[in-house]
Amino acid sequence: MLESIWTLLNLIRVYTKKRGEKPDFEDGLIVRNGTTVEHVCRMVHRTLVDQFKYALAWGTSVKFSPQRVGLSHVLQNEDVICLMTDDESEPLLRDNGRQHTYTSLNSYITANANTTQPSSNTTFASGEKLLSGRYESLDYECDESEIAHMEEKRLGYQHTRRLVVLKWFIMLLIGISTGLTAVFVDYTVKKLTKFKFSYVQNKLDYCLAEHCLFQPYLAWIGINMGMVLVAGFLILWEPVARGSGIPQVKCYLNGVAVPHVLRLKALVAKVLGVIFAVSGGLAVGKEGPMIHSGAIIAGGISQGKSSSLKIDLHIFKYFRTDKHKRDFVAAGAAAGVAAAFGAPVGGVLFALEEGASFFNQQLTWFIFFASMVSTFTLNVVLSAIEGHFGDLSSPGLINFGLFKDVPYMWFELPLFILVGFIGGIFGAVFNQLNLRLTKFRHHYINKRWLLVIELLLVAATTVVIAFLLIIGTMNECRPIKTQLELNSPTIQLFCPDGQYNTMATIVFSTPEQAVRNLFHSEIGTYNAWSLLAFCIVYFCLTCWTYGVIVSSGLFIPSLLIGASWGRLIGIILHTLFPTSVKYFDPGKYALFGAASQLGGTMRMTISLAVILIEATGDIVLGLPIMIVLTVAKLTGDYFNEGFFDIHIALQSVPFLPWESEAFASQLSALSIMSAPVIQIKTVEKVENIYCVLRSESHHGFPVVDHHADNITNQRSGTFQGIILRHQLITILRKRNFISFNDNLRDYLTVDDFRESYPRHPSIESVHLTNDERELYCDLRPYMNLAYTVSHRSTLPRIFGMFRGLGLRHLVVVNDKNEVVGMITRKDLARFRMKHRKGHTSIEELAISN
Amino acid sequence: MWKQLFFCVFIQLIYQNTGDPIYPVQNPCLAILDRLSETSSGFLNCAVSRARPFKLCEGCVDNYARLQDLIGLLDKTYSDVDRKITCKGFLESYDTIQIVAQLISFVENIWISSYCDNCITGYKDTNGTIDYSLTDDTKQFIQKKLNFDFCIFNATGRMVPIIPIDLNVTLNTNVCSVCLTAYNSINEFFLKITQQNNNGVCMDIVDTMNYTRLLWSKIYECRRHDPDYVAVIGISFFIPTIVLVFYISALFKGERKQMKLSRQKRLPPHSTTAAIVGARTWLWSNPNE
Repeated sequence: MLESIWTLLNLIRVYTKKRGEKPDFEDGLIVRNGTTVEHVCRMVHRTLVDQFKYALAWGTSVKFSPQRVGLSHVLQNEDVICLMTDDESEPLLRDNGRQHTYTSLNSYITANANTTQPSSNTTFASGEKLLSGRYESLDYECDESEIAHMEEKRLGYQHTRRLVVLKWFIMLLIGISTGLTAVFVDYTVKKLTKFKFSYVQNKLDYCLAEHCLFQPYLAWIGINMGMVLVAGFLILWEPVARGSGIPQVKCYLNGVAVPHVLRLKALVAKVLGVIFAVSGGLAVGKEGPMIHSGAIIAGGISQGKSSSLKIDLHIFKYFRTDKHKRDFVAAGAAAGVAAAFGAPVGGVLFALEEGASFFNQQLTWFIFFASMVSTFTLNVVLSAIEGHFGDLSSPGLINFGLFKDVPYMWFELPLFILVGFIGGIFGAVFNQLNLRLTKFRHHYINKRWLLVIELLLVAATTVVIAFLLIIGTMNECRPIKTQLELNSPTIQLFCPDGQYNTMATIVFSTPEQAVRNLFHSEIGTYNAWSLLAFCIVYFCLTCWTYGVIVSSGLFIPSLLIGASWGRLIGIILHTLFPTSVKYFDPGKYALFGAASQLGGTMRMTISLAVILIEATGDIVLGLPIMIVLTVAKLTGDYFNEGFFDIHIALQSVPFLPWESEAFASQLSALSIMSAPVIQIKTVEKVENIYCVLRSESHHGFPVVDHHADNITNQRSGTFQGIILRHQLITILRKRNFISFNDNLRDYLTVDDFRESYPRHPSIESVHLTNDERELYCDLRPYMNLAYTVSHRSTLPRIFGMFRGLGLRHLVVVNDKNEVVGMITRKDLARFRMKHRKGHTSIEELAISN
Repeated sequence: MWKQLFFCVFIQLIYQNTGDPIYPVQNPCLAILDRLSETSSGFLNCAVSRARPFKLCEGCVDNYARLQDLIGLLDKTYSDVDRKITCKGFLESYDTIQIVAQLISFVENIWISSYCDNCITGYKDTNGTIDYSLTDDTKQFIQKKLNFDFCIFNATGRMVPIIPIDLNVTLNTNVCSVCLTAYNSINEFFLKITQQNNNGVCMDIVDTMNYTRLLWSKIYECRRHDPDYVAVIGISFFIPTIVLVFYISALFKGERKQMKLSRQKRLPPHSTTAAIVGARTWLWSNPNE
């Protein structure tokens, strides 16, 4: 039966074979009878013909097996063919690597194929090999519809000026609120930590003499587990607040609507979560979450309403578009950085480098304003808390302390490069380990109670490790000498009175204080071996902790790891060259180590450099910091991607990088686009619209002119514009219907469409009577005059348009301006470069539900 | 030019005006300078001699108060009849070295960095006699220190050494148990002071405490801790074991979630589409045609 189908269809099977491997009998090529080698080459890839040298064929078509054959050789059924090309590089996109998608290259073959494609439509593939269908794009495009033009004309130029003033005002509010949030986080963390440690320390002091050491130990574990449990439950309540939040904000600014990312709930979970996570003693920082919090605050303030609380202040309604909201969110993220590090310029550059995909001169100034306001709000309030109100010079949440009189000489430059290299390696190792761990968690620890148990175990183990570190270094005591040491929490533990244990002081203080200690303590404070132990332990702990269900930052832990090994290098140099004390200052090398570790992990460049320069307040160290960061990034990039990029990929987000992949120009619009496209006529029957919306989940539909060739329904109409799903739903809900004999037409305004932003109702909420279904909708005033692209355009060009203009839909038209296909973000993001064993190829990701 | 002029005036002030009947016998500023030289050397003398053991605040407060009095005078006294140039200006603004200014800042720096104002208040110079009062905390501290010293004396039969470092006699007495309450009392009181005074504790107290602690833990070898390791080690092994068990059981028992793939719409697989596109390149050519 099967064989007869094959002969009837005049098809044969040919198997390809890679050099040195067994023939691939699973995944053959199906070609028509009488196909030559040349066609097979083209089927595999069209460039293969140009590079073709010869082919080896086995089977019935040749006399010897194998036989060397040329392009014109005719193949027969069940032949095995091995294609040899001029250069040894593999073709860029292999057909068998393409995932369950029919593409233009083999389209006419798969027409009759009933067996070719693997039929399974589930996969075990981990996150980074997929794109998730959950993510929608944001509409960063300007609305170019008739009603928008009418509104613009009606409001006039005055309105534009009013909007600018309002924007300044909103930026001010964003800055102030972000600064206040940062103060709240900082203050609460300090209080809780102080409370916890003073309790544990008192118990410890008492129990050292009374043989009950396990009591403070258990109390410490218990307090930490309790606090962390609160943080964990907050994340279970609002899962988007998990982790640092920077990947989510980055995706949002890239144009991906991450669900819930800007909700008030997320803000609450984020802020409270990070307070309890940091107070619970986990190896996490509070700087990353500050950035996400800033973004949420900005998103909320700029809208003048909260959908969660069902409050609408009816202000700022003109900013209720994705385009405006994006600008504010970028400003909020920058304000978050500014508040966290006391680095307003660093905040702007962070938004520029990591966040905003779309920037202009005016926006930069707006963002700088918001960052400055945020930093100085923080300063004013912190100075008021510390009792000297009005002092604007008190710095941000982390203050590395000034590096005064730290000279460096030309002969240290190679050392800086070495430090950068080490940081790059450590960063790459960190990223790789965390990637593995995250995949493991994704696969095996995916139930809620498992996640909570893991979190509790992490919290408990952190205490155990801290305790063991203290006991291990119990004989390292330093006398309390300076007033500074007297005031900061110095932990005595096993030391004689009047002295303190250095390791215990690091472990018992918040990570920021620990970083500051490592930067500024005098030479000889820390023992090299205990520093090494601390560095290794903290590295593993941080790597393990990032990804459990708490909201957690990575900046400070990375800085702490880097500072500890940097200080170690400083100590080693100091012992090697005891004469040049002036230059080999361990504190200075701790700073460079911290910079290098952070750069090697995050792979940020300019923003990190500026943040560190601003946080240390020393422009003189700018050059070495830059050198260290550059080397760290170069080294790290050789091995893997940046930490946040890895996590974005793991979440299967269709993220568009700055540029399309190299060598992608062989892919044309035809092989990228989705087709056929559901089209809607300019004047469409309500019934049709309703059915389309019910049956399809797409968000944009091309509106086409009524086309003459309506019989076959194959040819498309000429392209007129794009109408969005939520617009259609609004039209249906507002019953904006016409019948053909109506003369009076009542159009909706932009306000009607803006009403439901950002949570548009679903089609299920629309109920139409039978009479209404028979009416028509005139879509011409509402449709967006969108961008189109020719079907011949190449991937890089389309990519550039998408990225540059912030598009959501791009319609592919042919020479006659007829709609051929539609390109969305996922169609572009699914092509990804793969490097393996010196070969470069483009792999195509599958799209999951 | 004007510098030279000032110099001439200066020279005149020093050498010629003394005979002028309008002026007092000696220029008041020069008188203050003389006085300043005496008092400051007195203060330095006192400070250096009380550097070890540190008793600057209590010991040199009279010298310091006198010096402060003089410094205050610098602003109030004038070197000329027109009352235009104060002595401060007269002594400090005509040369670059400014010995008087440096001296004043040096002395004040010593005083401030020792946080002496936190244990001595209200010192002032009234006609050569110095009034000052210790703060309550300081008095209590001194009282507790006396108690402690007395206890040590009772237990060991020796006076507490002023400099504990050079006492290299091992004493096999029960000092540790007898004087523990006295020691704890002074130690806790010190910790309380430290917490109260955020900006700094008077260095006299800090230094006394440091010596007391050194005496206690190094000389008399009183250790207060004798930890029990068994429970600690037990807990330290127990928790990592749970972690291991958790991950291994997760690996073997955990279910991998399958992701559903959504089918994408791609070019419909019949050649009429190619006709619609109107792109009949070789890509679309059928070999059989």
